[in-house]
Amino acid sequence: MSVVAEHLAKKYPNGVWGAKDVNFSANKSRITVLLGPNGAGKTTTVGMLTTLLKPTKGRALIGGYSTMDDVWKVRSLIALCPQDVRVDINWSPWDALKGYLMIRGFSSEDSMERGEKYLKLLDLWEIRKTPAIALSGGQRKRIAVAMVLASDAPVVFLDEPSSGLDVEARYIVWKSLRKEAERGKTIILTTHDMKEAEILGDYVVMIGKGKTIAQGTPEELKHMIPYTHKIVVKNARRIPIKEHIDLGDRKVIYVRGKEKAVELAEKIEAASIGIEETNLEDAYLYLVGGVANGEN
Amino acid sequence: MGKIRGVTYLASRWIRRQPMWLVEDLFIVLGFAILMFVWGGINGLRNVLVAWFISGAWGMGVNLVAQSIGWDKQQKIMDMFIATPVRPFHYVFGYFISSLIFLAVDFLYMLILIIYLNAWTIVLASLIAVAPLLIISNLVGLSIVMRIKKPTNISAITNPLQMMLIILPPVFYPASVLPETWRYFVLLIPTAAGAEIARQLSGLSSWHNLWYPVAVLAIWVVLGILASSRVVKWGME
Repeated sequence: MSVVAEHLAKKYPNGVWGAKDVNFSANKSRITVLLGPNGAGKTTTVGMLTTLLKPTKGRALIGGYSTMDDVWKVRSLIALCPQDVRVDINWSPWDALKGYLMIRGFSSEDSMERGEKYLKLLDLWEIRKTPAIALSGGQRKRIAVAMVLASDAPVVFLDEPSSGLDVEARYIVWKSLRKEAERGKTIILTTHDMKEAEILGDYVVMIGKGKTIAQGTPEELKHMIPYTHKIVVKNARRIPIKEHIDLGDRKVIYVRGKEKAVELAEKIEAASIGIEETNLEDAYLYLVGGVANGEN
Repeated sequence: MGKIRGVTYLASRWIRRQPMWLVEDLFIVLGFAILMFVWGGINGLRNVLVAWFISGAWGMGVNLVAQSIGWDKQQKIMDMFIATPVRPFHYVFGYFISSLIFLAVDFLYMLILIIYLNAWTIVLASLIAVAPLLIISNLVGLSIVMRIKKPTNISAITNPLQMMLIILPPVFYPASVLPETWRYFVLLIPTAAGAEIARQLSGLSSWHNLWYPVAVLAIWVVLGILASSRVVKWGME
């Protein structure tokens, strides 16, 4: 099912623009990642797409239905795991899934059967009867993820689903999201974690200062910057180039072409020098932060 | 119906996990019954029955339902619910049904007293007064809790409000003991008006002016709708 955001903008009652011009489209069987720094407008965008917020400008379509004009139809097609959601301390994982699935129209029996499948997928089966008060923050977060994935909603929104999770829990969530995408769901998640966007995303939308800065597959985004390599220099005594990023005792120099990188590295005097291919993080810094442009 | 059942199921989990709240209620019901009997004899016991119905209805909306929904809002559970086919009616009604357990349990605790006093007229009269009071307490509770920004204020505001309007005005005592000029003023409080309706209908009040408390509750229903409709929003903000 498709999700379309066209020139989405939101001005809050206090006069602050949460988003100014967000454009992208997402399709089924694909994980679309909204990537951007804190305050970029990711959560506001998700709010508008999930009918929590009314757009000030632009429009959003879920499966062709307008979030403004067909609110109830849209709500039947989506599920949302909000940022910093805290499931009730009295709910066990089992309670949470059973209740949520009943809300989504499943019978008590069907919700138990479906709940079991997703509790196992999110590695919550062993603790299914333990109330959330006795569970860790990561386990509680996984309950919320399990709730929305278990729903039959064809479009699932997850606002920073892996924030605060340890490495193991993060991989469990990632694996479950990939499985659901394979099953045909349209998954849209927000993050500011480059690694998460690169590993998980089929399509990445970079958002900065409330606007869509760039979008494409992680590979396409990496090629949007005019550099292919970076030289990371530790404790430099001499750098024969003015344009570099100064990180204190480390400097980063972006160059185009491996040969040029090697040539330049030979002229640098430093404790250690490394040459790496540019990655999504570099593209992000260049496109969203403007770091490589010398703007920051 | 499934949506309401789902909300009720989730909303009732806390009572299942913390059943001692129901035991606490038993001691409060029992304690007040003893207190009222010692000071007021059989008439005191009849009045405490009215008071329990009124305080139960008021506490259910202002305290139970409002607090639960307030916490849902703070913990973003409400956002999860909004992004589903659940409508505001399903949501609030689900919480309402889950909270009925307290009224039902309190009724069971009072049952021995009701049978002993053969006080079924009082029960019927109280239930008539409870109906509009439940609507008012839920609307007032929602309109207050949806305005609260700080989570720590949820209980800090609703708990005193609940107690203040049960203990101070004539709920556990009849309004007829007050001078008539004061009576009109005090009966503007919804809990007092509800208790007065129950007392007049069951013959416990020496005052005969049923339309005044009825009019007060009708005005409160309108005020409650107006106050809550401004702040109770189901997304699209």
